[in-house]
Amino acid sequence: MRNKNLFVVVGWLVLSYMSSHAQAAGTPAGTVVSNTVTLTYTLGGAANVASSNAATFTVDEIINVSLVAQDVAPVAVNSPDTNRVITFTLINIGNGSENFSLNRNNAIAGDQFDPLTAVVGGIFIESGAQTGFQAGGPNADTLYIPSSNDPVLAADASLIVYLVSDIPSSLALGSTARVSLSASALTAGASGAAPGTTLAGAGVGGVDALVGVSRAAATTVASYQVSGLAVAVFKRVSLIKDPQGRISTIIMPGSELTYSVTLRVSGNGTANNLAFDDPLPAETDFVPGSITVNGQARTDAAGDDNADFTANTINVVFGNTVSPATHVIEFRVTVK
Amino acid sequence: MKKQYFLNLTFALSLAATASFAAISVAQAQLVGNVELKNVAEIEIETKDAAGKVTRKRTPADKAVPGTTIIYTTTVKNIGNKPVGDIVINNPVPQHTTLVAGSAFGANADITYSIDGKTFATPDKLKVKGKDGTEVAATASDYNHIRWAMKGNLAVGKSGEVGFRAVIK
Repeated sequence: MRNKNLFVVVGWLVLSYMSSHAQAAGTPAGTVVSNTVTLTYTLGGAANVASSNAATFTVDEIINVSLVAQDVAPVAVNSPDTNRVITFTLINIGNGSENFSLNRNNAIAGDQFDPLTAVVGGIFIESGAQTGFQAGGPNADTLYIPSSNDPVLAADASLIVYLVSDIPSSLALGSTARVSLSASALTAGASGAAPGTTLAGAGVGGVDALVGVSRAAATTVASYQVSGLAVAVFKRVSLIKDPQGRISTIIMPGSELTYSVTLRVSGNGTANNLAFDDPLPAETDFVPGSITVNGQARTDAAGDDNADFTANTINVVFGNTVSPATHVIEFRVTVK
Repeated sequence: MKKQYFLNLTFALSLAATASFAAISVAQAQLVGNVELKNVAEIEIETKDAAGKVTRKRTPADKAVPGTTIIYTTTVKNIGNKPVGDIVINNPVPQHTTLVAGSAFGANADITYSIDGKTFATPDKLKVKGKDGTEVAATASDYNHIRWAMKGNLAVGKSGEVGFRAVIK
């Protein structure tokens, strides 16, 4: 459900971005714009009509590209980790079809580590079969291979590009990695040229191409962050019974209390050797055989299941727990 | 003599090559009876010298990218021997361009606009249907024709100039 919501939001962002740029490309390159004036006048009482020459010009190509990172916040990763994805939208905001080459740079300054180009491949192009990145399977996205499948985008067209990384091991929590994706127009001489540079005859259909404000290339930096695990414990009294066994709201000697403990593992990664120990207060007596874990009864003895009651302490062992996970432990005590 | 001839020929050839390569935008006066009518599309290039002085130079608009402002100028000249009257110049705002608001110029002329190419009126009387169906005042981007009605006669040998600016969409 969270993923679904996220997708809706991202989709809306892309759409709104595109619509706001729908006019950016403008009149298609190669369009001939003609203008003829009509004149009427009278001469010696006779009406005359005339047309002027056609004042004509051809619309040149403007090469402009935009690359937008869809992940605004750093993408949370583990250390080590594999196939962590940052999503970009590549948009041809020029007015003619262009081929683009893609390139990633793992060594951007100002961070604590460099991500590794994923073993499965560093850049993938959305195949359109299934939203989101798929490394394999029937809906697999397309591995980008430079000068082999450089994407071609018509004016105003956009493309989802995935930057896929592996994350080194032994990184400190909170470490960030900056990484960039670049897209460069492949029209010779365009990429990196000063805005306004004219490339004679290099445009669509042989018109001149003019390098736009983007310098016919775009580089967008995004980041990964090694995110910590959070293990939260909520303990509450979920039920009080008076000494006669009736449900009550007040506690008195002889009352039976049901404790409910919720253990929630959130964030990214695996909580290793997760265990819960709860020494009972001296004012209470444990109700034998009252431990349940996620609704299942547990014995008080050690060794036969993952819970026991030893040395006046409730012990429950979960071992290595992959986030996200939630466990509910319940037990009962009586008040002395 | 022979050399002179050769040079002339080259010149003629290069002219022909230019004309076939670029779209013809160089003003070609049309001679219509006693009136010469000329229509040009130009681009204004602004340059700033070291002292910060801005110089504007117009060049023919052979080619241009979206966003460029094109200056259209129509010149009417009376080349006959009688005054010409009731001159009306009708110029469509070219496709793929948007009229720059307030840019239409022309001395001694009543300027009206049209949003359908048939009826012409002053801007305050032009209405278009808004998104909700109600009529709202039309803006320059809605105008698709401009008409100049020259006041009085154009005397022999005199010329009148009208025009407008439009931005390539």
